[in-house]
Amino acid sequence: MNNTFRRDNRVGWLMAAPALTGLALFIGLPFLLALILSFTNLKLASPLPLTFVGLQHYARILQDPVFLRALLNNLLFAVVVVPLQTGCALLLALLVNRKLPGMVVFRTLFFLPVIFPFALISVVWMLLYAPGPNGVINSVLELLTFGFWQPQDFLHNQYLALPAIMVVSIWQGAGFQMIVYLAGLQDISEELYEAARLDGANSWQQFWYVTFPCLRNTTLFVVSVTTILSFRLFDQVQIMTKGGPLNATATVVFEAVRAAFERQQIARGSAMTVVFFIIVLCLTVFQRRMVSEDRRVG
Amino acid sequence: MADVTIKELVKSYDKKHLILDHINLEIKDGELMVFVGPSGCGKSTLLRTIAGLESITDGEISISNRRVNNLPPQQRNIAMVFQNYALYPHMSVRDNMSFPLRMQKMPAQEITQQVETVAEQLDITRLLDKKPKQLSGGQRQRVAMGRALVRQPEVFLMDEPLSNLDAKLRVQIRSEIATIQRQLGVTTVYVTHDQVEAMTLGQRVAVLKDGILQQVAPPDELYSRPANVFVAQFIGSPGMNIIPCRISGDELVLPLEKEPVCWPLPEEMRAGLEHLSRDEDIWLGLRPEAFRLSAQGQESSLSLPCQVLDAEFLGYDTLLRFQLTAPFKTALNIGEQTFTARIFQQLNCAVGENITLNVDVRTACFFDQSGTAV
Ligand SMILES: Nc1ncnc2c1ncn2[C@@H]1O[C@H](COP(=O)(O)OP(=O)(O)OP(=O)(O)O)[C@@H](O)[C@H]1O
Ligand SMILES: [Mg+2]
Repeated sequence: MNNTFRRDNRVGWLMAAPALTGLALFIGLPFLLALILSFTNLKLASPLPLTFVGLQHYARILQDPVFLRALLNNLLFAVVVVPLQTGCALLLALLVNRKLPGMVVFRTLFFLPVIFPFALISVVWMLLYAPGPNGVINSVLELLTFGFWQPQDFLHNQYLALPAIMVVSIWQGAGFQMIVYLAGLQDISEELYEAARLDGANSWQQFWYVTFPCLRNTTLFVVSVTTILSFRLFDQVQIMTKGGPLNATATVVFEAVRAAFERQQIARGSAMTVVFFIIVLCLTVFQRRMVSEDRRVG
Repeated sequence: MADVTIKELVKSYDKKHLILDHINLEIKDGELMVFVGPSGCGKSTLLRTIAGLESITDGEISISNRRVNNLPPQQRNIAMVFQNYALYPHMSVRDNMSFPLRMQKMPAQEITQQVETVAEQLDITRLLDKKPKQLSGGQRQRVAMGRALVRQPEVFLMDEPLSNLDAKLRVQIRSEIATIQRQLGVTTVYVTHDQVEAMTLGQRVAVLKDGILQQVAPPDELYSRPANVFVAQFIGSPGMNIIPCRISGDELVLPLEKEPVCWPLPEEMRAGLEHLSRDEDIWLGLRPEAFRLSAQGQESSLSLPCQVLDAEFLGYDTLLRFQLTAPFKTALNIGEQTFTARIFQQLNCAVGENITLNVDVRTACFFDQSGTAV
């Protein structure tokens, strides 16, 4: 009995080995290195000998206005993008979940942005955001406001750059969350809706009392993944604004990359990634707590 | 309280194949009507058209003389218990039961009171604060009934509500349903594929086959005077035995080649059979209880020679599966067809043994060539 158990265990470990090796090699090890490096004074091409400096980098970055701005930007980004993107995804999922001919086409269309490489998307949107009255978005806005709209240079305006990036991110990300929601929606038994209708619930009440509560775990998943992705924001910024103007679109990861690879401050960059890791860890733990609570009670 | 009238109801998904074929049915106020039939015959569909969950292709449904064809389920004041209960998984039992009342915008205080009254009636008060997942199948079933009962619906629909329960619990809840229904006197339609459930529960039973209503009658009538061969064989476990025969004057004739066997018919049975012509081939239906084991040397003219295929001892009675032997077997052209007798006496016969069974024709039924009762 004990023996079989141990043998089963061994087989299990054996099967997990390739994945575990990959995880350890490409995620565990780099993170450990980053953690260790963040306590040193490592700087490429520096004549100083390598020494441990303790929490010095953490103390410094937490006082660095640019890094704090980056944190704030991430937070702003999350606060705006998470509810909007989740809402859009749910709306799209509800729309394409109907049993009408041609729905597959719409599902595919809405999902397409997810599979495009970000470089491509960024270029397209940079064209859409083009400054001057001939830029697509500028001219559309002008048309919609009967000429009251003043053409803007979205990506170089310190108030519009971050919102512009938010819009691109939502447009690109909602398709994936839509698929997750679609799976959640199709898990809800048709009988529940029939029962609700017989109980006298109208469409809105059916959504509010049946659909939404049944999507609780899906929503938790979508929200936490979107939040994590918001804190990981990098590609859009790197390609479209380079963190500018005036750090209006700087983000934690962008700053970490800039510190490590532009200014050769490996240790400082590492400290930033560790901060990023801690934020993500907290979010994940929170999400798991919420989900397991539901399992226990539900 | 309400009655339900169904007139010439037709339901078809593809406009070619009729799922429900011109159903005419009247469910009386306060009655417990059971729909029974083999799988896929359209029982659930018929129930769902009453509920408004399924649109109808043609015909008319009215509840309390109000035509409801185009009313959505929300406006029909109907409650339904689903096969899988369909309890809202995230709501407590209390919230599940309150839900229909909240939708009616009933004041909170009244809701609490009503929910507690019904909970007491169904003996689920201690479950009120649990979630559906924490309940056993039987408890969920009760909660589903509770949710349907709190709002005092005009019509109460149940679609195989007991099929997920074990045999013992099924019997128990079955009788509880009958009791509650009698107490409340609410018009109820109950769907099942189990004819035992139908016979024990129904005040009247509607038998369906391939979307066609076969017979609507109280259980005893369904058993003793089935409208056709299908009903005769579907109702009763095991069903009726069907043997070819003819009627000649006041005698029942089994048309054997050489020497037909004639059984005199009892006086009271002759009346309905006079119109049959002499040589018309018809069917004789015999319930398993119509057979008696004949004692040695007591063979009368009303007996059949047969061979035992197997005998199932059920405690009080024994189910005897048998084939007829020569000359009946070949002459009646019934091939390998087997019959079943229910014998209420100690039986000691081996498989393959030849015995003689006496037939009590007083409970016999007759069907014409198309299978309709005569
Ligand atoms: N949505 C649908 N589209 C097409 N055909 C359907 C649909 N729903 C049911 N049917 C058909 O209607 C017929 C009757 O189905 P129904 O569910 O009423 O059977 P039932 O008598 O309840 O059977 P069971 O005892 O198995 O529940 C079946 O032949 C089924 O294939
Ligand atoms: Mg059914």
